[in-house]
Amino acid sequence: MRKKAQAEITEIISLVAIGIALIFFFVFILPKFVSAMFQMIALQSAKVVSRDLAGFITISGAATDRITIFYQPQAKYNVGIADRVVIVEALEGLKDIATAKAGVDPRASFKSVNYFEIRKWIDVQQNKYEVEAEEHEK
Amino acid sequence: MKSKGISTTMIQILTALLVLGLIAVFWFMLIGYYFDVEAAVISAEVERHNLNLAQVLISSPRIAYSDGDKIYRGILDWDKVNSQLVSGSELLNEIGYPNSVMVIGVKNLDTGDSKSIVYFGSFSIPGLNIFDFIACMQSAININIDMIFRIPPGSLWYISDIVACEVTEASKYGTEVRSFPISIRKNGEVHPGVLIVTLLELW
Repeated sequence: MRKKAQAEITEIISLVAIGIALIFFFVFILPKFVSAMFQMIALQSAKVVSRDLAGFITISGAATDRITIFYQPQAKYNVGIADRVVIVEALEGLKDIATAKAGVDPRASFKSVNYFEIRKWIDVQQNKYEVEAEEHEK
Repeated sequence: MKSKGISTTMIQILTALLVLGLIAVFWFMLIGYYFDVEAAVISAEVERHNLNLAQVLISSPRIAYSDGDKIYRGILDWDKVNSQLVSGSELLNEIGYPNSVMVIGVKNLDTGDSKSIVYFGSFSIPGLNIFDFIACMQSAININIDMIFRIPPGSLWYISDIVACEVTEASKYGTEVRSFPISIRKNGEVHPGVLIVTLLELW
């Protein structure tokens, strides 16, 4: 009878411990893991990269002399830049396509790249822009 | 026998709690994070474009004061302003967002002189939001067994996905008016001034 009672107490303690471990897992560990996972997916999306590229291209024009902006997103993309529109196709993750508007007019086209250099300089009172990209090892 | 029943019930309760917890966490994380990310991506797109446009304008060698060696960002040359804030000028051809209407105004706060221009950005088919909407819908296609329960039955999308794409794209339209403190150099003197940029993104 005494052994049975002891077994019951051990069982209850085990269950309570498992319960506490589960609460800890749900409250502290799982949200962080899921949050990190979604953050990675979001940062890889074509929408974010197209917006970033268009923003960098435009704001490079705010430099009064010359400037080079380096940008390395977390996945590979096909990119087309023409008529002040940046079109990005993600080749990894969500594999989505997105466009973003730029305020100035460089032209470029790249396949399967994950590293960008945006250059701006002044030539005879006129801003000149150039975008180069290549595939870099992660 | 009674204690065995209690422990079995507790295991069942814990299992149910585990399942409920998993569902709740995934639901809140999916919904909550999706909207956080969407908000971060789309929020204030027109506002950002307006700010960028102004920053590029006040740094442009076409209207910013230059001593021949360097360009003075934020100090506009009144003669250049008068020659460039006209229809078809190099400045307006070089800077501006597609499928948008822009109003650029410069005012000298000492003398009250002002100059403004309304101009249209280039028309760009890939820049149309309808293409973003189509791309959004393409990425939201969901083919699985529950298609027969969707509205209408057999639809490739969930209603929530269609609404999300509509909300995302519709939020890209809008108008933003902002004024920026600048200096204006006129006849060798520097005056306080204001640059007013209005950006209307049409489609």
